[in-house]
Amino acid sequence: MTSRHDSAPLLVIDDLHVEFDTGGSTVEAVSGVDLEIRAGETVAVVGESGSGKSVTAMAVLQLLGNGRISGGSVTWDGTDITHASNKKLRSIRGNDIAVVFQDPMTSLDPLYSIGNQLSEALRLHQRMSRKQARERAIELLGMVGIPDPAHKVDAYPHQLSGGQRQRVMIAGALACTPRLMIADEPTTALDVTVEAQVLNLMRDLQRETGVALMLITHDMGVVGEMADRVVVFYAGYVVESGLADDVLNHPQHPYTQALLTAIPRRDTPRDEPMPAIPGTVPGLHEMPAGCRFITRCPYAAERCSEPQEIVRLEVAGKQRDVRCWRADPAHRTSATIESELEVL
Amino acid sequence: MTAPTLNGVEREVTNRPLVEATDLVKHFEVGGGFLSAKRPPVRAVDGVSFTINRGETLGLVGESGSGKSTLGRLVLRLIEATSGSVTFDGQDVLALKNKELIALRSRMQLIFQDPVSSFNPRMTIEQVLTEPMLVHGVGDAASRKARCRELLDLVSLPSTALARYPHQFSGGQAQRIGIARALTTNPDLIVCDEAVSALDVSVQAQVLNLLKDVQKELGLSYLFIAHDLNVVRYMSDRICVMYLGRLAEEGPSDILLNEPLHPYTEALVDAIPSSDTIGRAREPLAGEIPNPSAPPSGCRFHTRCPKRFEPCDHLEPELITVGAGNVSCHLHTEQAALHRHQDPPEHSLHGEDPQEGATA
Repeated sequence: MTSRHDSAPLLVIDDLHVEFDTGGSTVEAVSGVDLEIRAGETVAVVGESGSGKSVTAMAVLQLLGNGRISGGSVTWDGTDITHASNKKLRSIRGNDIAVVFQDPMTSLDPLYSIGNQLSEALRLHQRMSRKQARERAIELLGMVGIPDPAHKVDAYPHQLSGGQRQRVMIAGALACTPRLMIADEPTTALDVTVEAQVLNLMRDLQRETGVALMLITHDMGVVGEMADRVVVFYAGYVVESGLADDVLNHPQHPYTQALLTAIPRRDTPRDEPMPAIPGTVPGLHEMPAGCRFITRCPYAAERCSEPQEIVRLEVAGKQRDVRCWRADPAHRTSATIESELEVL
Repeated sequence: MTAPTLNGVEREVTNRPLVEATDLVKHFEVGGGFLSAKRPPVRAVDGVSFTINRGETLGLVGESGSGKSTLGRLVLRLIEATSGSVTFDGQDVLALKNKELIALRSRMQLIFQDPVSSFNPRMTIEQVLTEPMLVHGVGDAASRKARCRELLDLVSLPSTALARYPHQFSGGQAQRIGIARALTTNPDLIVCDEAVSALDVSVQAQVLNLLKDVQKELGLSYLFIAHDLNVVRYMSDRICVMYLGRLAEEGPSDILLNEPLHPYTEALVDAIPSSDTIGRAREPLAGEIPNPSAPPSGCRFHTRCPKRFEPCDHLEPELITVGAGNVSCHLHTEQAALHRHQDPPEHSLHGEDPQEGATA
C-alpha cells in the first residue's frame, strides 16, 4: 500500500485535556492523554465506560457537544488542528478522518435510503454528480459485502439487519477514501458471529485501502484480534500503552493486569471465584490527586498518592509506556514488583 | 434432607428436577389488525425441552432472535405458552389459576440486563426491596425492614443505601440491588437474563462472584441467559444452545465448549474474539440468523452450515443423546445409525433413534 508518511505519524494527540460543563460546575473527562497513530496501523483504545476513550476520539474532530479542549494539542498530518476553524474541520471530517459509531440505527437517517445517505457524503466531499455518486455507492456496498448492492442501494435502514447496517456505516466511512477511520465500539451491538464477520471485513478493507484504524473497544478479545498497538485508558488518562501482543501477554500496569484476569476465559476454573477488581472507578468529581487506580490497586503505597508520570520502558526489546512508579527500572532491582507480578 | 434458606424456612429436597419444560412452543401472532393482513406467526420458541435441577445452573446461549429470552419468560409464565408444559417442583405451572400462580411466583424470580431501568425511579431502595414482600404478604413492618438490611448485607451494600434512589447507584451497585430484590421472597429459581452484559469487565467479575456465592449459600437454581459464551461457561453446569427457537445442542459446560457436537455450537465457540490468538484469520459463519416467522426447512441451521449434506435441507433432525449431551444434527444421527449397523449390541442405547428409517 501507500508508504506516505511512514516516519511521521498521521495523528498526534499531545497532553490532551477535555472539559465538560455539567450544570454549573466543570469536570475534566480527559486529563493529559498522549496518543499517536501512523499510516495503515491499527491502534486499539481500550477502557471501561467513563474512562475517556470515546471523548478522546471525538476531541480529534471536535465533536464534543458542550465540552471543549482545555489543554494540549491535536496534530493531523503535521498541522495543528486543536483550534481549527469549522471550515477546516469539515474538510478533514469524512475526507481524511471518518467515524463509525456503535449503534448504526441511530447514525443512519430512517427517512432516506442508504444509497441516498452514501451519495450525500460523496456529493458534498468529493463533488460528484448524482449519477456518479450512486454508482460509487453501489460499488461501496459491494465492497463491504452487502448482497445484491444494485438493489439494496434503494433500501431503507429498517429493512437491513444490524450487521448489514454496520456494513453500510463502514461503507459510508470509506466513501471518501479516508486515511484514518475511528471506529467507536463498532461490533458491541452485534452478535458474536456477525461481529466476527465485521471484524474480518474491517481487516480486509484495511489491507486493500491502507486506512489507519483507531479502534475504541472494551473487549480485550477484539484488541487481540485486530490491534497492532494498544492504549489502555483508566479514569480519564492512559495507564499503559505498547504493542498489543506484548501488553496482552505481559501487562505491566496493575490495572491492565487486573483487567485481563477479570475476564472469564474458556479455561477459567469454574469452582473458584473470579479475580475481580474491588470497588468502582472513581467519579469525575472525586478523582484522587495521585494515581487514579490507587483506591482499587492491590499494591497501593504512600508514593502512589503523588501524581504519576509515564515511565518509558523496554519490555522484551519493545517500547512500553506505563503510568506507575513501580514500573521504573530504578525501583525494580530493589522493589518487589517482579515477585508481586508473579503472585498476581 | 433440607436446604438452607435465608429466613430460616426449610424446604424438603427431593431428587426430582426443580424445573421440567417439555415441548415448549411460543408463536407470536403478527399483523391481523384492522388494516393489516395476518402474517405467519413468529416462531420464537418451537418445541424445546429441558430440566433444571436443584442448586444447578443451566446456561442458555444463542444469537439474538434465537428465542432464549422468550424461553426464560415462558418458564416464569410471564408470557403464555402456545403449547407444551412447564412443571416447577412438581406443579404444572401452565395450569395454575391466577392466585396460585402469584403464590408460586415468590419462588421464581428474574434479574434483568439493565437494573436501573427495572426499578421505579421514584421508589427508594427500601421500597424497592419491600414491595415483593408486601405482594406476597411476608412478615410485619419491622421484620421486613430487618430483611432489607439482611439482603443488602448479603450483596455487600451498606444499609445506608435503603434511603437512596436507584439513579444514585453505579451499574454494578444497581445490579447488586437487582439481585437483592430477586432474593426478597426466598426463591428457588432465578432467571438471569443477560444480567451482567451491561456491566464493565471489572464490575462484571464482582457480580458473577456474588451470584455464585448466594447460590451456594441459599441452594438456588439459575437459568443463566447470556450471549457471552465464556461467561456462561464459567457460571453454568450445563449449557443449552438455541438456534431459531430450537435446541441445537445441550451438554455439560466444559464438554460443550471443548468438544462441540453441533456445527452451530462450533461456530459460536470459534467466533469468540480471543486475546490469546493474535490476528487469527478465522472463517466466520456466513450470513445472519434467518427470519423466525419463516424458518428454513429441514435443519434450521442448514442455510449457514458449513457441514450440510444431503438430508439437511428437507429433514428436521431429532434431538439424540451423544455422550454426555444431546444434539440435533444429521451428522450425528447418521453416525448413530452407522454404529448401529456395524455394531448393534454395544450401541443399543441409540436404538430408539426415530430418524433411523429416513437416514439409513
